[in-house]
Amino acid sequence: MMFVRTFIFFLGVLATVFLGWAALVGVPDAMISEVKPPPGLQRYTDEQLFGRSIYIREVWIRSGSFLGSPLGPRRFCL
Amino acid sequence: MPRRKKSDIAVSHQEFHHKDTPAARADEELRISIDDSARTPTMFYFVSAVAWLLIGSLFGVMTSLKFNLPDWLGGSALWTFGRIRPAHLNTIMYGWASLAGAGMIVWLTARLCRAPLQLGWLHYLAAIFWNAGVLAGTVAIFTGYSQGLEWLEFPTFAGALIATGFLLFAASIVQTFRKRNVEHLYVSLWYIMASLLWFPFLYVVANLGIYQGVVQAAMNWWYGHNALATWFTPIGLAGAYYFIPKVIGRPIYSYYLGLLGFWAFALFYNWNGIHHLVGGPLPTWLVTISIVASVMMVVPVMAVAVNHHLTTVNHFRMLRYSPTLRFVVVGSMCYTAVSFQGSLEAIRSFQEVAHFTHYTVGHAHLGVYGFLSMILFGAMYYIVPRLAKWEWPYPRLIKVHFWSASIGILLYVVALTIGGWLQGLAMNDPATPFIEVVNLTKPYLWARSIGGTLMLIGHCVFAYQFFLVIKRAGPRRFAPALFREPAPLKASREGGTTS
Repeated sequence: MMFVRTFIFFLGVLATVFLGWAALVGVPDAMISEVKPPPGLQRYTDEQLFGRSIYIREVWIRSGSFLGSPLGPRRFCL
Repeated sequence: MPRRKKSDIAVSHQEFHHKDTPAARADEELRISIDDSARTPTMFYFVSAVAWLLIGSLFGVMTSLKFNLPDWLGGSALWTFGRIRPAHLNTIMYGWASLAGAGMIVWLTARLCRAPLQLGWLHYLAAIFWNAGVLAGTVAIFTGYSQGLEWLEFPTFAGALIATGFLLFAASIVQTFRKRNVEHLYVSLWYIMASLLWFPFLYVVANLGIYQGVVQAAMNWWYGHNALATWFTPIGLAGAYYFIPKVIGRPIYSYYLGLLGFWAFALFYNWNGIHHLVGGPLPTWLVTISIVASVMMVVPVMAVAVNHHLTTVNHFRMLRYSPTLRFVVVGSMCYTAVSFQGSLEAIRSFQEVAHFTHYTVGHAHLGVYGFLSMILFGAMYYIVPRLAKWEWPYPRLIKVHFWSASIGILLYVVALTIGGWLQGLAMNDPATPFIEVVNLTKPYLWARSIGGTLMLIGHCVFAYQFFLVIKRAGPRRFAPALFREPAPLKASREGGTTS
């Protein structure tokens, strides 16, 4: 009886987290997979990707609205 | 023998000495043998946690000072805001909070299962992997190899080290759970065992890197909020559910309220994350269900708050004596406050002002520091002397720690709540130039730095005393270090033990 109760407990616990993932991530992922890219959409250029890598590396998504970096462009060599 | 008040007798059972009966002696021997099995792993986690606490809170104060002195350390890429801020967040969350929580879980699980810790050697490997992961991830952030995702800044290789450490840690805890010598599972064990299933699922899925574009943002906040929901909050609640009744010396008020709180928590909390993306390019229904789930969090929070309050009621005077109780009760009160604040913040009309302001930073610190860290401090004040077999040598330093931490977090949260709200109102006014908004927040940002510095001072005091206990240095005490001695018990202090 104790084993069954423990098993149901763990099953319930796993079900809650799986449901959360399915609703918040799995379903939107499935929905967006059917979306076709608009005609004429170009891939990022090497220069754009270089800028993007700096943006990510410096975590400017968090800091851009608060502080600018005083660093010059030569500091950003990969 | 002098007549004792009821609450003082409760203190005496838990923190002063034990009844001298055969059953009590057998019980004490069992607890000592359990503590022996958990001693080294728990202390290994605690020592690393305290080291990360000092490092992480130093990074935190430096981050805060950068708002006050923007040019300070600005000449080096290493110390720019974009790197030091995630370094602070990750060292505190994965270094301090996770490792201190892991130590508490090891000890709590063995005690609550009334069984010696199983596969204890796995914890040495787990702690090594975990520490290596945090160290590697922090170095990676500073050297520019961050993933750039909130709460997931550590690169994949550091995440893999942490995940390996977690699996080794969980294997020992699960084995101890299997060998338990109790029929009834206490509330704290529900939260601990659930987090062992939730967190690996969450961490591994989030680190797979399979999501791109807008779904990556959804995944990021599903993870970011759930790191709190599935790991940090269960740790804090497990501690609160254990230490409040333990120190007071009476059972938890209601088992059924605990049951309602747990399942409502499990059901609603992990749907909350997308409220961070209100206004983002996501389906409206997706954001709306997250807002609804966030508001529904009132149910488990009320259940926990009522349960803890009715357990503590008529015993609040014990807060004058017990450091553990004081830290844990303050932590529990902060849990209630931060959860209600979180439900409010999820609402769209509220977010119009509060989102993307310092208000959110104050909220996050109330949760991670006011709630979780205060409970972890309380837990360590209880556990460490029992494992090190050496009492905290200076109760006054515990008091300094408590007040600097409490005043620090109060100042921090109040300043950022008011400052953030005013900032939000000003930013919503298109006629106000941005520089005026920045100038408006300056005094609140100074208050934030002062609050953070107070917390750092408290951590230094705590770390100093912690290492005295590890080294078994300082004046030796034969009874638990309390803020003050309950008058009726002063006469019976000689020869007391901690177990």
